Amino acid sequence: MPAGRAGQTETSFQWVFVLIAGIALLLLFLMLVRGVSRTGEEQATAGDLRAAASLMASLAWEGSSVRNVTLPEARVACRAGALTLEAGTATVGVDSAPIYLPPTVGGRARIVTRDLALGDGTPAPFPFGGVAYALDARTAYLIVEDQRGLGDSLIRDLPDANIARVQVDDLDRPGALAGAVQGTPRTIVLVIVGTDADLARANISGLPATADVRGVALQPRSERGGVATFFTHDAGRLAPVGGAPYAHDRIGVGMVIAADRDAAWCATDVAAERARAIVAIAAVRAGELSPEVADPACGALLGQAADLLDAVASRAGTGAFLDALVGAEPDIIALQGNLLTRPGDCPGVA
Amino acid sequence: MRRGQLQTLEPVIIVIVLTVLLLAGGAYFLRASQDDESRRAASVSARDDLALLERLSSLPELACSGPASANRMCVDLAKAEAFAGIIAGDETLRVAYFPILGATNLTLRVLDIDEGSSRAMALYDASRNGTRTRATRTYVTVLDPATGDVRFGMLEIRRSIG
Repeated sequence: MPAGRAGQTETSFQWVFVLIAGIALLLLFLMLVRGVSRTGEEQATAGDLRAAASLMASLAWEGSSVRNVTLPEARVACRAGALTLEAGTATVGVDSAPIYLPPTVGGRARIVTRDLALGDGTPAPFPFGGVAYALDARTAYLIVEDQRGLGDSLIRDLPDANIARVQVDDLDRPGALAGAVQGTPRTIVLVIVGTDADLARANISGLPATADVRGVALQPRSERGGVATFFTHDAGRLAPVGGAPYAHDRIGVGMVIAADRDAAWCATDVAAERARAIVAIAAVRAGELSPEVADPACGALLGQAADLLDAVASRAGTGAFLDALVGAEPDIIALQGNLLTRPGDCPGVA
Repeated sequence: MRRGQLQTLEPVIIVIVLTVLLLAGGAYFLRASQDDESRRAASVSARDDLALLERLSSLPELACSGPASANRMCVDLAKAEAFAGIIAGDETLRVAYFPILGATNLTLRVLDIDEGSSRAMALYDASRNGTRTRATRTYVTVLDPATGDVRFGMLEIRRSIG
């Protein structure tokens, strides 16, 4: 800057100050931008934690009730090795839903379950939550409904399935259910649109002795647009023919009606693999716990459980595995009962 | 430079400086709003991770057995060890669990409060390579079924975010 007269110096200082202020502001901006962008590792903020608290509170609330998760327009998307349900833009994964997988056609799928996606924190007493039953052409459905005809929507989605409808008023009548069964099914799924009390009074004494009878009670919650939305009230697994329902056994708590035959098989494979993983985990766990527990009798039972579960898990092929699983189920339940009734801290099978 | 020339250039220089300042300010606000969006997305993602953490402790693969009320947010140590061992040795199974567990790295830390130490157990790893990760954690109880001891534990999800 040339030194000169007073006016020249005064004028020069005015814009020099502006430049200095500008540089200072630029530096400030740069520091702020760098400060904002330098977040190497982001962690849940206090806001996130508050949101999480409310989320968990809502989950706790949901966990205390039975949720309606019927997805009338859902599709079974069997991709990337998992069973996923899509409804509109929402996609949920079936994590621990016990699944019935009937082969059916119709282009739509529905899942009725009480334990979907987020888990309701109420594992079944026998917690093989992923047990899947590959129901095939030898499966018959007995839909017991009241006068409102709420079984219509179930039937509409199962055009090729072996389905019979029975009125709830006929539940007590001996032979009513048996007379409705067509053919010689290996498995009978008894779907009662009603309550547990209805399920309990189902007279199954006349059903084919060779059939495995499984019951699900659905409580109708609402009906909209001709598509009934079912609300799973509870489900009981009916004992082999002639027996009484197990009051708290909720193995067969859900039901998936797959979209088409391919989807059904695909979903069967996926669900079976998940079930196989659960069984394998239980086998490894029982094997490792067997020598560690203090009670030798408990250890011996765990060893038996490990052998049994390992034999089931190692069965190659979906069908063979599911057959083995269903076949071993009574023994596993018996072992579980023996383990849990032992004094002390004897762990269960799973 | 003569005084008259400088007086003429002065408003031009001020306009240039102000323009630079405005551009810098605009760039800052643009960047800040982008960061805000990414933070919002990260917040949603963190919430998803927390939901996943909640779900993890109720998966039959990990959940403690017994009455539900006593077992909320409880992980069975023997199941966790078996799950980690099985899934680590089976690529197909790891792929099968991907839709459930996502591109995450799941770790269970079992804390020994008496000794002030912790043991980390890698449950599942399908995380993507990235320079930045986000960790979301929740505390759980860890049941050792062999002894019946209940310990303090922490489930952690790490996810690559960039």
